[in-house]
Amino acid sequence: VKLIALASLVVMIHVAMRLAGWAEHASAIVGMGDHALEGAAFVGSYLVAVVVAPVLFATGAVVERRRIFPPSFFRARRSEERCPHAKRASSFRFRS
Amino acid sequence: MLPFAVVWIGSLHTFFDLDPQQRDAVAVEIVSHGEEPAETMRTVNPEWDFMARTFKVLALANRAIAKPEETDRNLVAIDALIDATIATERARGDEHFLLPYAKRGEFRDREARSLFIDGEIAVMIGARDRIAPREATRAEAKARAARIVRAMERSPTLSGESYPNECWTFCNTTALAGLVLLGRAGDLPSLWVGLAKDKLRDPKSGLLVSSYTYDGAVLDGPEGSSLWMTIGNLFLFDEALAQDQYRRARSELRGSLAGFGWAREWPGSIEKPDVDSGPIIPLLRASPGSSGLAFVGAAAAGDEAWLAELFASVELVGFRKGGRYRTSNGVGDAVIAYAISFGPLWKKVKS
Repeated sequence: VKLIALASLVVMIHVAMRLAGWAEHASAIVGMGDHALEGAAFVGSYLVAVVVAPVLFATGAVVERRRIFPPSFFRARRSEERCPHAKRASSFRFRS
Repeated sequence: MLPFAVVWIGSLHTFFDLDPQQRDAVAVEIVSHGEEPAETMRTVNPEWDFMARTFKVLALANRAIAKPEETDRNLVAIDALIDATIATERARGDEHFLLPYAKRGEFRDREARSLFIDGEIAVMIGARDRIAPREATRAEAKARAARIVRAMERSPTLSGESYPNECWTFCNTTALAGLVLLGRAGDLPSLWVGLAKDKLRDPKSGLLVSSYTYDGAVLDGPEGSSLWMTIGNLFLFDEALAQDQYRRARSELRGSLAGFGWAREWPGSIEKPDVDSGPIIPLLRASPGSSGLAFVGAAAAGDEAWLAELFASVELVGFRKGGRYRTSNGVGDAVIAYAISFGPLWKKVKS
């Protein structure tokens, strides 16, 4: 959850900069304009959002998936698949 | 996290690749604007205002040859750019397009004017005339060509000065390209190339140096921002040296990671940032100036692999809005348009 939150924060910061018009100052990195700080900060936040955030999202998603569906869950499902009668019997008992 | 990072970073460039149609659309957007306001750009470097016009004329000329449906429209745009440039130069002098230190002293050749200005105007007129000769600039072309030839022939390094006691390989090869386009080069290109091979090469890398005094003392060693354009020019009049320099420059200056490409400004461990190199990006040592002009070198050499990487990089950090890149400026955009369009003009001259 922390990784996903961090990735979301990075993306939100970049989107906020974009909405605030900092993209227009990006030319500052080649010595243009009077907003060098905004331009450099915008480019930096963009690169973090594009390169780092997806990795944090993906890693966070996998970690969370393991928490919601622990390996024991899959082992249980696999055992049911190996022994379909057990599943049917279980279902039958549940219905009755 | 590491496997995801490897997979994501390794595949990221696929989101930023530009196919030929997209590149063409970028070039169209850039050249569709004629003379543009350049006040902001001029506060950093007035040369860029001038060079943007040259690159745009070269892009338009290449497109006019490659795409007959654009010829008439592009000739009108080329003429407007040339006329505006010559009018501005007449009204405000060479200094209008030069850095302030142009006034710090006298040219060693007292009768010479900046080869940077004469050479690029010669290229512009020459490129135009290769599509359809224009009577209105014939006298101008003749005068510029004569001045270039005279300045280069009487120099001990067969090189004209761009600034007082300062000759540039960029400007001298551009001037030679202009003479070739105008059909007034004679044997100057081969003489200059012979001298350059002998006296203007960095002994360690074998690359041509960037700038030198009138007598040939090296001022700046090899620099990507100068070398890539020099290579593009050399392809017009000495393909063997062009290929040799491209191979060496690619080996010394090319940067590449996960499908993204860039260029360093200097070989080895040299670091001397200036207005030409632009701010150097730490660790990668990527130079905006060298990376921008590397498009021209890679296009001239037909190095599609690196060109694709350079386009992926500019798409990643260029913030394209339509066909214009926000992190670029007028001259950067014009260089990219020239690189996208590169080829037909040189081919026509050599055929």
